[in-house]
Amino acid sequence: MKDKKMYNPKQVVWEITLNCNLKCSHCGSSAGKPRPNELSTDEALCLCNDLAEIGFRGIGLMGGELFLRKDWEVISKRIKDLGIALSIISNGFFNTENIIPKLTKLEVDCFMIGLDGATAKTHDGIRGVPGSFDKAIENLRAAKKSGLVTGAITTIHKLNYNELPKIREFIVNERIDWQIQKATPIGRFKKKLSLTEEEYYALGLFVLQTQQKYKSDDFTIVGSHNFGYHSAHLPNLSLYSEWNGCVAGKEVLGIQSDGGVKGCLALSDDFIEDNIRNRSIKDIWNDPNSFAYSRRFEKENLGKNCKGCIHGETCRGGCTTRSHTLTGKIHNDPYCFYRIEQKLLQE
Amino acid sequence: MKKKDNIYNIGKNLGLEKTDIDNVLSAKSRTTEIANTPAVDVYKAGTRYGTLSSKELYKAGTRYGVASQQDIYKDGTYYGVISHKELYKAGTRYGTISPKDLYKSGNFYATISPKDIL
Repeated sequence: MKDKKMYNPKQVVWEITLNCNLKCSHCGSSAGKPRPNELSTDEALCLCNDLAEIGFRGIGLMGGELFLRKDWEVISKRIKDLGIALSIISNGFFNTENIIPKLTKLEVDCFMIGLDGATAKTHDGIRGVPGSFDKAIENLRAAKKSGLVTGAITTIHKLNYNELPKIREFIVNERIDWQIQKATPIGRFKKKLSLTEEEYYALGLFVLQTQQKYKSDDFTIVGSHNFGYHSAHLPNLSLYSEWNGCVAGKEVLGIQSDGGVKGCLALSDDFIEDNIRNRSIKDIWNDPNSFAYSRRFEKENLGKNCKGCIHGETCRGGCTTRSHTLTGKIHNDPYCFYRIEQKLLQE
Repeated sequence: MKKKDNIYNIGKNLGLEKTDIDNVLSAKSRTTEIANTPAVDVYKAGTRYGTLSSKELYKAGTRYGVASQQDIYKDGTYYGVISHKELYKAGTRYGTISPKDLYKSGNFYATISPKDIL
């Protein structure tokens, strides 16, 4: 199905540095040291202009830990000045008094902090640095108090799965947004810590129960954009209003701190399309041959997990990153609620 | 052990009762209705799930409608090219609209409730 009309630039996820002050075991980009040749401030600002010219309407800045990049505020301001919605994702390990007022002044549209446990023992254990839990909590509270649209992102795997109810208690008490995502074995994250299909489905049930039980005027609780797809029994629980296939390179763009461009930042380096130092982002985006794995989907491309599925044509085999990481193929994502339900009902 | 039993056991640790799980799994399948429907009709209906009329879906600004892009944009959906200011008014995730209104809209982006879609 060739649907050129759907190349609709919406959201960029931009890793402005790979430098990080934590050592998270689930980090998909194995962050720690900065990349050897990260974009200069001038290059970053030029990139902002080009993204605006293409028509992207939202940019999410992240790292590594983005606040370790000295010019993060300059880049953020340019994004806001261009009229683009700015979201920021941080690990929460930063100086509250230094950062929160700047975010407020910038009028950041959405501020998210990673929260991976209900206790310091779990969160710090996953994040690899003592004190990271306390700082994350302190900064979530400070951001909320300052009036920022504030949320926590919890990346779920076997090390924190059973703490979900306790994390929920915190979320509900603090009345902050909550996004729940399943960890995918890329970067530093070990496959053996991934959720099983049954655990994943139970996670869907948990999110549903949470949405129903704690429905509130003050905060929202959702799964990540690639959460579950076309379940026959669960309503849509994801960040997107509906799943119509991976939007990498069609609506979304990922940019690495050294200028590498992917359809989605989470994809492996095998999917680097080009570098903005070779070609402008406008040229890369507008090249009809770019992101062919996503833009030129044909039903026949579906992998064995998805072949013959009634949703195949629109679902397109789910999340490209998860599919490729787990099966070595794209359009073949096994973590699909509908697929899991088919197995359950056949027993 | 059956996969379903596995889910019951796993669910317990998350505070889910067996009846909670059974209630969800025994509910009428949302997929059955469209299983034998040609994709083109489903698209016309505006959603893989939909029993909603196209007209209503178009109003809701979904992707598959026959409304012009301009109409969809005006509708304030996530997919539009309207200005951020307008999007805020339309209740997008990035907006200044209250969470209450967002909930009413059924999700971050759409202007229709899941009830209507389902």
